[in-house]
Amino acid sequence: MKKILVILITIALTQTSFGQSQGKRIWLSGAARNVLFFDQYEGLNQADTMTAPRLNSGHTMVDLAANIQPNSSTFIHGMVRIRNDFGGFWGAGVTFDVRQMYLKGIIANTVRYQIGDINYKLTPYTLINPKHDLEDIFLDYSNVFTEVIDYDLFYNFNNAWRQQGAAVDFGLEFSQYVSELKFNGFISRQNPSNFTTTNDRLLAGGNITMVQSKYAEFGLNYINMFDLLGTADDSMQLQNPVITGSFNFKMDEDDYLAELFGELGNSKTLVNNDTLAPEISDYFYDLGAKGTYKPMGASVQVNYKNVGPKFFSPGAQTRRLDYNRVPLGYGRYGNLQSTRAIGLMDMLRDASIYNTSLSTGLGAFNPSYGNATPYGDATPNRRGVVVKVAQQDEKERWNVDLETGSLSEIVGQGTANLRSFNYFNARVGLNVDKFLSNWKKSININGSFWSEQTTRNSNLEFEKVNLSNMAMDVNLDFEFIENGFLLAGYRMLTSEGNEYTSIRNNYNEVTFFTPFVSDVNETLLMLGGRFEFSEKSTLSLIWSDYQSDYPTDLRESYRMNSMSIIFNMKF
Amino acid sequence: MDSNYFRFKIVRKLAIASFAIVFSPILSKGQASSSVPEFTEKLKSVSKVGVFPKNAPDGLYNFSTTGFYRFFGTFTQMKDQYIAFDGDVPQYTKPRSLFIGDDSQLPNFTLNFSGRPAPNAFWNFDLYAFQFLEGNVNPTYGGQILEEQRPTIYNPMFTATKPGQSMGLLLGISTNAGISTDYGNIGVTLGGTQWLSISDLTLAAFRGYNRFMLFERNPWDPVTANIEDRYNTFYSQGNINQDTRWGERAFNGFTVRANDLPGNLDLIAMVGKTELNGGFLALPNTSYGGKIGRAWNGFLNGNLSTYINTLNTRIFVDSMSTLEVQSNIVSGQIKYDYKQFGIDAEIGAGRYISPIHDLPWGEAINLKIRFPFVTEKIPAELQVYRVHPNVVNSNAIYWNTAVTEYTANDIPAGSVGSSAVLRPFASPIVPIGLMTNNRQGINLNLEHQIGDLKLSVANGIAEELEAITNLITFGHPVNQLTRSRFWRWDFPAGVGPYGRQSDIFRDTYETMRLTDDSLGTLLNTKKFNVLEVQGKYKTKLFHRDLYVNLLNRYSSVQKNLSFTTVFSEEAYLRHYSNELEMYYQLFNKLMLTTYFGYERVLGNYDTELALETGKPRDQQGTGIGFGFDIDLGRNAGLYLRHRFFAFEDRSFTKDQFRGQETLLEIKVAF
Repeated sequence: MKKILVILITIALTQTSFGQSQGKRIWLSGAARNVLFFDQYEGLNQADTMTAPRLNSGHTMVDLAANIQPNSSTFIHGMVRIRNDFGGFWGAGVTFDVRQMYLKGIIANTVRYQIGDINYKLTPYTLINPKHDLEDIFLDYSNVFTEVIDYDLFYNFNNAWRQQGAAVDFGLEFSQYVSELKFNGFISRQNPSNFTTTNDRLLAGGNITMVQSKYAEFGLNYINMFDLLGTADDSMQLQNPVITGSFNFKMDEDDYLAELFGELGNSKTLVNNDTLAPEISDYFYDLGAKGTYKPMGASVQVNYKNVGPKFFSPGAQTRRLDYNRVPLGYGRYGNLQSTRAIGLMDMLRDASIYNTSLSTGLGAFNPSYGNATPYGDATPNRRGVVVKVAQQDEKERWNVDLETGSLSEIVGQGTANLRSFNYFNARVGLNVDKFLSNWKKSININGSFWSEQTTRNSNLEFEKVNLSNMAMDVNLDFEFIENGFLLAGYRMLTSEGNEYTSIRNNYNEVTFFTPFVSDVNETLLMLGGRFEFSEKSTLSLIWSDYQSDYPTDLRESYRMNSMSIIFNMKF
Repeated sequence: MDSNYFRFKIVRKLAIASFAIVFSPILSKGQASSSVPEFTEKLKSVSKVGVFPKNAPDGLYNFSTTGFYRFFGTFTQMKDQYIAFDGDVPQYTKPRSLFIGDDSQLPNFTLNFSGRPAPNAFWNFDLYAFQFLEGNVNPTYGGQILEEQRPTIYNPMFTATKPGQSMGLLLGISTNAGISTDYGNIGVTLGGTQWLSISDLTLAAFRGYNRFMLFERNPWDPVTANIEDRYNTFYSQGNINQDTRWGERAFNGFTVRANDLPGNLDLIAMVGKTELNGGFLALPNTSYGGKIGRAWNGFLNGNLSTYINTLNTRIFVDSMSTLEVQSNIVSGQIKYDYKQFGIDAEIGAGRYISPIHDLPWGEAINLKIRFPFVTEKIPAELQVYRVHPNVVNSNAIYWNTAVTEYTANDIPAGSVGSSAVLRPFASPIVPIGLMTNNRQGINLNLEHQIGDLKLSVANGIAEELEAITNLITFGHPVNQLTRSRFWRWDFPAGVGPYGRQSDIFRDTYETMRLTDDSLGTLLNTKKFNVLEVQGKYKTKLFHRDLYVNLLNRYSSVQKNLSFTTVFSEEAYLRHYSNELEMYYQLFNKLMLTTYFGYERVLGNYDTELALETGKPRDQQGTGIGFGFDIDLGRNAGLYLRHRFFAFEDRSFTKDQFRGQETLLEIKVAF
């Protein structure tokens, strides 16, 4: 099948010039990339005689898509990936695969549809691909590594999830009372039936947005993950509908912008024909207000939210990072050849630890990398206040973003005592070149800081929780020649204290707790350069020195130096 | 519906109420707001939810497809069959063999795709397909994949056999970009296969002095615009049009090329893998190096350029990457041209380290001086070279004949990931210009034109630095490709009668043992002589172009140094080959080509003797051929060749064959 597609695309390619001459009915798009990693490992606790001190890896690939528009209302997109692993000669190591295919079009000049691979997003509590841990803190300003992972895993579409199914949308405009009504609907398959124990699992949902005027907008959102009963011998049927309403009131004056917004809704999780399965339902609300003073570019936003402990929304709570996975590079290390935990370096460059499918259960996470909202805005069992302050210089010389949150659990886990989560993060960006009147090239310095404290007080020692996390990041992006940039970055993370991680059963119920002791220091120094051959072609060379220390942990501390060469083309 | 389903009933009520009030009275007045398909034009506003992206993808700046189709068929008839594999039950070549395809492992159909996202950057890859015409008619050339290996409907991504097994990429994928700045022009290439060369002592493939025959075409030989161009170019320019790989080595990795840098510097830097340390293990088997140079235009009224070159290869042979096979070479190079004078001097040092070797640095010298010999009408080039036995670098144009290289694996030579080289480990007879380590030598090349006759003569003298091996290897230029086709697809060693033939890429070589050692201790370093004579002539015959190409080689290996080839029994081995070709343009679109070749190989009584006759080698080979080049239109040609071939060793009586071979090639480039 893959080859057939290759041949089809090949045929399409040969038609390109013809197609283009006929009004761009066929054109090509895609991406090309080369990645080379030269890694060097060193055990820090003792001489490591079991782990290879140096490893190399890499690949070259081209994603080539034929975009075919046979008529004015139909569009076909098919993309194949041709990949050649580093070290292959004469055809060895070459793989072909289909990356994506879809058909989209418009019916009667009114209803748009897309079938095949689709990237879909609704709201933060129904369907969204949330940022991964610390993504707001460890910003990849130069976009060297993030671009590769986001592209590969389809994370680069406005926090949409890649789905395989069909979607339709259409809009209606009105002359009075209401400005516009927009309808969006989709259905996708999460897994196929195996005819015995697993039914087809589908995800369906949609949104109706009513734009009443420029002052008010209302939304009704619905999503349901469910098994299609009868497609397998199994009679059990999961259903997880979520329905929410959203609103946004806006007052936009010359100097001021005032907004009131929020989303509130309800979820239900049940497994029909399973006598052991509980029927779980819960609600949430997230209400906010934001004021902006335009002359200063300053804004203040306050949110209060309450997300019930049994609010489950797979489309919104599925994590990108899967901590159950093992990194590709040095997956086992040390004299005991232990499984290496995911670290900052892996988060930056290893696509294999990320997730591309929705999960009905709450995925594993590492409290050291964020304990307050590990499942994004829709993290269950949280209530509290989040305050955001931002200011951007009108001449774009700097920007500042501050955020602090004070959250707590709604119900205790294994105890009546509640955890409290307090966090603060700050991001500052300085465009130094804007301060220099005679300097034409860009000099950007960015910094971020994050601190998070998790506590649970109790008279009983074993119930106490006290976990402190802190991270910071400083980046320099200096254009030293035209389109040539020097890059430097330093990031570090420390985590110390104790926590309990929850063990959940198939119904998302907490059944047990595992003590989690954290004492880790991670540092990552990066130096390198980036050259932009064009807006679409960038070559980056990054040397990095990553160190993961576990002072009191049984895990072995280690250090990893890497030289990364990444060449990206988009077209 | 469960009554507890909606905790917030107000949500549903509000939604229904707003829908009923706002929507129903004015539905008839509504109109589609999406009159413009999203995939053809950018939207003015973007919905915050739904399908992403909202716009159609951009297109390539430029895309091109080139390639060729090449039918190649061989029909061989053996009157006297050859022992392909000797043993108790010898395996003979078949009396007749029909083979569609080229045993040089190059495909019938190749598409080269190249796309430019921007004017200064591009990617390219190739797609090839074989076509053996074996009559196995199936819906696809790959044939039916076994049922248990087919993708299942339930788990379609799992399959043990990749569909489309008749297709693939030969040269892989490369990404390239270049830019011109105030500080110089910089180009980068990542991926591969790239074709690279640095210098003769570091990274290069043998180019020689353009002394070769044209009768049989290489798979990569281009289709010329006019059918005569191949021969006319060879006559007038001394070479034929070669493709990009000519003289270059395959490389996979990261390469930077820069010129016109500050200080008039040029640069090539590379890190990656050559064929010798290719493969997919994550072990850091790497080749790295490059060169940096500076041009000094106007230096002593000429052009001077200086370079520092290096190539370093590392192969790890254990999973901990502690056992390392390493070869390094660093050289300095000076090139100077002034009118008819020129110098290309490269002097360096190399070493070889492996778990069983720790060979110190040894010298490597390759000096070429170009000058007029007696008169300006006789341009000459003198080559002086010396390569220490410790200098082992199988990526350059000197063969390793001194060190038994540590092999990283048991993968046969010629296969991907193999660390074994296809070249002979022995004392080979090599053509002028090709070097080996453990050898020093002088080559003098002279050229002279008398009317339409172009003469080229070269005399080479070389000697081993140390007596290391009692083996001599040599090839058979006459019927060279025919011989190599006795063993198809792989490269076996120790085959043929008496197990002394080895098959390599489009060639074979034979190994001969010397017997004048003293209880296994070698007494003599071997001396080598090569005399090459080439004559090219162009004239008119019946108002049509006639080209003549003569190439004679006379080589000897002996104990004593000699000014020129030893033609007596003093030589361990005397190796003579005489080849004559004529190309005649019968019509504008039809060329007649003819070939005659004769070779003699003689050993003396200090070499192994045949048990059956008690005599040393006494070999004779002949080849007579004719063929046609037919112009099939623009970039298309048909090439027909027929050859009568014979070989006989009068001493080693099993070593003989005789037959005829017909080749048909149709090549269309686009």
